[in-house]
Amino acid sequence: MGVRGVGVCRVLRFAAPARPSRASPALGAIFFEVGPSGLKQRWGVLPTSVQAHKSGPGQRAVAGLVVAVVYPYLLPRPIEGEEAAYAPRTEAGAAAWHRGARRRHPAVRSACWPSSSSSSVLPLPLVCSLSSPSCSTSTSTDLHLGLDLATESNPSPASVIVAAADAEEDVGLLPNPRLVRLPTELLQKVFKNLGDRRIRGHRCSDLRSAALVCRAWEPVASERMLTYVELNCSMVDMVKSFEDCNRAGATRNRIATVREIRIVNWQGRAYSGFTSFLPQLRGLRVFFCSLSGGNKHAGPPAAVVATLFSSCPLLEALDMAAPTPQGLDPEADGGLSGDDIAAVPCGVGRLKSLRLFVAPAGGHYSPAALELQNLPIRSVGAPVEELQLTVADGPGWRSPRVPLFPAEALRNLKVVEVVGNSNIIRPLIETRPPLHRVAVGYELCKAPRRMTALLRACPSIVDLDRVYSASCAPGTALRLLGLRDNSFADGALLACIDVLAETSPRLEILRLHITSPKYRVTLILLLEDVAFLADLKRGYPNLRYVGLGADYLDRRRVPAEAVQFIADVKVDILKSLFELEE
Amino acid sequence: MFHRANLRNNSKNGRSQVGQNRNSKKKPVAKLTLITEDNESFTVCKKVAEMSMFFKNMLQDTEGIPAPFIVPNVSGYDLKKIIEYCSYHCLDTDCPNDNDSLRSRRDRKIGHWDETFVRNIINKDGDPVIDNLVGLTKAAYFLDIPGLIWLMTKSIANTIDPKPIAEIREIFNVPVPSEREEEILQR
Repeated sequence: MGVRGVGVCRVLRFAAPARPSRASPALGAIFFEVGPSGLKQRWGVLPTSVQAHKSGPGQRAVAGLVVAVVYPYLLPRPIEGEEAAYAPRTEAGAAAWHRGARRRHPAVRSACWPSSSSSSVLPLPLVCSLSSPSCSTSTSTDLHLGLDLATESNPSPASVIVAAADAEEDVGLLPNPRLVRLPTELLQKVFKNLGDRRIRGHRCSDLRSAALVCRAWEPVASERMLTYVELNCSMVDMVKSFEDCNRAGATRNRIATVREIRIVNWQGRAYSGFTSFLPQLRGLRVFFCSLSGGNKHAGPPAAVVATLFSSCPLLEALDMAAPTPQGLDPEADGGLSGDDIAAVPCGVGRLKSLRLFVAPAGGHYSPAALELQNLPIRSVGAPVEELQLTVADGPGWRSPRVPLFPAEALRNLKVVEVVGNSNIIRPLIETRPPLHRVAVGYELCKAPRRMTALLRACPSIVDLDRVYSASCAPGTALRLLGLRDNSFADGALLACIDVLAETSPRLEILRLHITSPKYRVTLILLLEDVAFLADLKRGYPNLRYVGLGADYLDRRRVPAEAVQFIADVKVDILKSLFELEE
Repeated sequence: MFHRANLRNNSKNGRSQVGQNRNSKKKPVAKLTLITEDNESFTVCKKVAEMSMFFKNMLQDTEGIPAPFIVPNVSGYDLKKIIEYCSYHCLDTDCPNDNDSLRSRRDRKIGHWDETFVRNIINKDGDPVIDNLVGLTKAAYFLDIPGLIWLMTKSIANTIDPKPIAEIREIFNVPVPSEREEEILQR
């Protein structure tokens, strides 16, 4: 890339004509803005000033770095006999062109030429450097880009940075021109379309293959791979592998590119190395933590959660069990300072998605520990859009008392999924959030009338799952309905079809929870078993999928005539819902 | 009454049509002449050119149609294909051409016309596939056409997608790395 001017500034000023006329056309410019979202390219006729991107909270470190490449792209056609000067390929041609350019553009008083190695990159090599007395990160400095300012003989601090950047770029070059021609941003876009076998549904590890093709591809593919990390090892191994990874990419801090981290099978011990390592995960957006084996009910230690929130300001989704004072480590120091605790409500208040598992409190839980367990629920803030709460219930356990969610936390909710009792329905009816999906089976089972009230209060609900009764509010726009505790074998469901057809005429997906032991044992669907689909289709013309719990449905043992019937009715039952979405 | 109302409507429609025709006569379709780096010249409508953010910004900044416009970094073949793409998609509302809609539609699939378009790039003169794809991708990137960039990068990814490392190296003409380099990559 023929970058010739680099500066850190807020405003760039150019000594170029602001209003080009036909006689004196403007100079073109390409700017590369380095912002928090990466390298952004901007084009345009040289304006008098270019506002660098606005810096938001937490983005001040990179705010305002503007890399400018300036070259004339808008020039009048050369007059006859001037062809040689028009697209110079040699030094002499370049000098002649430069003289012509000076005639055409009064603003061009001098121009420096790129070295011969990079002259093939810029076709019209009038390259102007930014020159600035100070290339510091000072926010108030205005850089003046005069087209006559810098020359090769008098390198500005900016050109030193450029030279360093060029040198770095040369390291990654390969003998193959095809690869060199593809800029990093395009490689990133290509790799974004490649599969990742770690994500469910992707079959092959093409991203990893791409990373191993050559050295030019490795950093880009690895960066993409590192955006999603799943860890299924001990904490010590995890921190070690991260450190190795960071050492391999010496040029940049690779760990900072991690966006989503899923820790599966954590042993629950608060490894001090992990807490001290967390501040490196500055760019983390999603944190998932699941404890191993029978310890799923115990959340990570509060110290880890507090560090996570204080060191990852961009965190927006959290999926874990409610924090405990010491995790599963009885030797760990449970003492937390007030500052540590304060980080938890602050962090939870910023989240957009919260999935929390609340376990029943054992006898050894002190009031302070219970308070800590309920702290995330109390601290949910207005940005939250997705809320998933699982209140554990077990034989011999006393179900934990979950506090009410703050009213303001429900205002923007789009997805609510609750297993167990959390008393969320009444506040939802009062707040009327723009809900899209609701799966609150237990509470609606206790009071079926509330379901009608909820559907009336939130007409945007299109996805109602885990309900125990098929009676819905008339005229609802439901597209998905999940019914539990029904038994279509005894005809109870068929009896509700008439009711449902009137209330939810737009239904597309119906998920049934089969309770009849017949289908669990035999795993065979005969033609007579699927005949009810015709009745269903009559009730819902839009219906395209009926889920029968396909996890245990062996499609190889469905007779051909039943398969043909299903195809004729155009209601799929053999795929799982996941396959359908794919 | 019915007839009168009909007549009134017709006359209104007629007037407005005439008005439109007059307007269209007054305003000839704005055209832009583009010259590639290998000196090939193309004339395109302003609407087609505005599919490219590069030209769109330029036309806004200059407040008018400039003299023949030089497009550096783009070959004649690439520009021809770009014009073909833009001419088809400038009227297509289903095909998003801005980064925001492209980002929101992650599940987007390559359409039928686009598929044929990519297949024709591949068949051009029997040249190696990837050369043409990369050349056109780079040209689309230079002219900033988000829809075409998406299509091209997706096509390159599809070329790589189900293949083992050795085959990818063959396609991209990457020399097999030495043992030491391989070791570094593996690490």
